[in-house]
Amino acid sequence: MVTEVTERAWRALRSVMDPEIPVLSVVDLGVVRYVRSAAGGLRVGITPTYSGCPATEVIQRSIQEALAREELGDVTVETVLSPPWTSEWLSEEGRRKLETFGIAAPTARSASNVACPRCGSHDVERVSEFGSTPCKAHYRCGDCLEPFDVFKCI
Amino acid sequence: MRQFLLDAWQLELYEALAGSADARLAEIAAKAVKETRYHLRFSAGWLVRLGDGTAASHARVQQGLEALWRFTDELLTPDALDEEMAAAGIGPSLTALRSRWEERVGAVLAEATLQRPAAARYPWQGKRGVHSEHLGHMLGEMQHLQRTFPGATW
Repeated sequence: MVTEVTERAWRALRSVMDPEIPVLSVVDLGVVRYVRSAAGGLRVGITPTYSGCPATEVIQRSIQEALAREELGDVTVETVLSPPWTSEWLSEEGRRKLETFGIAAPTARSASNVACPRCGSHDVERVSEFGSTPCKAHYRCGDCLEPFDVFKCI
Repeated sequence: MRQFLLDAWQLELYEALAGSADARLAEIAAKAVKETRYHLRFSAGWLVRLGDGTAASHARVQQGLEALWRFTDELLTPDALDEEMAAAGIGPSLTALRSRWEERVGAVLAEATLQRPAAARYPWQGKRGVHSEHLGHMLGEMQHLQRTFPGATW
């Protein structure tokens, strides 16, 4: 019973998409830290991604709405600040979806192995540290010449 | 230039606050430090590009540096409250912060071929709540909406 409720909550959370990157769910993003069944009802821990991200509030509201629709009883959504969110929490599936969407996934601690999400080339050049949103940088591919965004590594 | 001077200060500030005795402050600082590092990379990159760019761009950023340098003293000079907070392990030691900030800023200014201005005396009193006439205009601007439509929300 307990596992069923948390399982349903996870399923509902997988349907909550980032409004800016609609292919990524909050689970793909690593925003959901835990779903726990407790005495007072379900407790869901979420963590903000980039500070000042305008989507944060929308995401929180969508999470609450999605959980309410599932009718899981009392649900408390808690904000967890520590440890701070890192782009390494992006799931493998999330990274794949991001690349398919045309945004290069964050690279581990190094900007040198950014690859063009379109043709895979490493002959890329950074145009600006800030791209279409503050959480992305803007790049250009030297091979296929297409511009693209890179999800920032923090 | 202003962005760079402040980014360099904020990075030192958040790095110090990440070890604060106040758990909440430490959590927020640990999150902020990663993003501030990115902001500093952005503003320092521009400073080097402009300072070490053309004669015209160099002259402009040097002028900006000279106009703003006197305001940095207030960020780095502790008052009684700063000292009390540092002694309690909550706030950073601004004296230690100053030397790290000067080292960091000095390195970027050198790379940007800019001349560090001489220490300028500026009778700041902002920390004591005494502000210049500019604050009145800023508050007037920022409070305009609430004064015109009391209690407005959107």
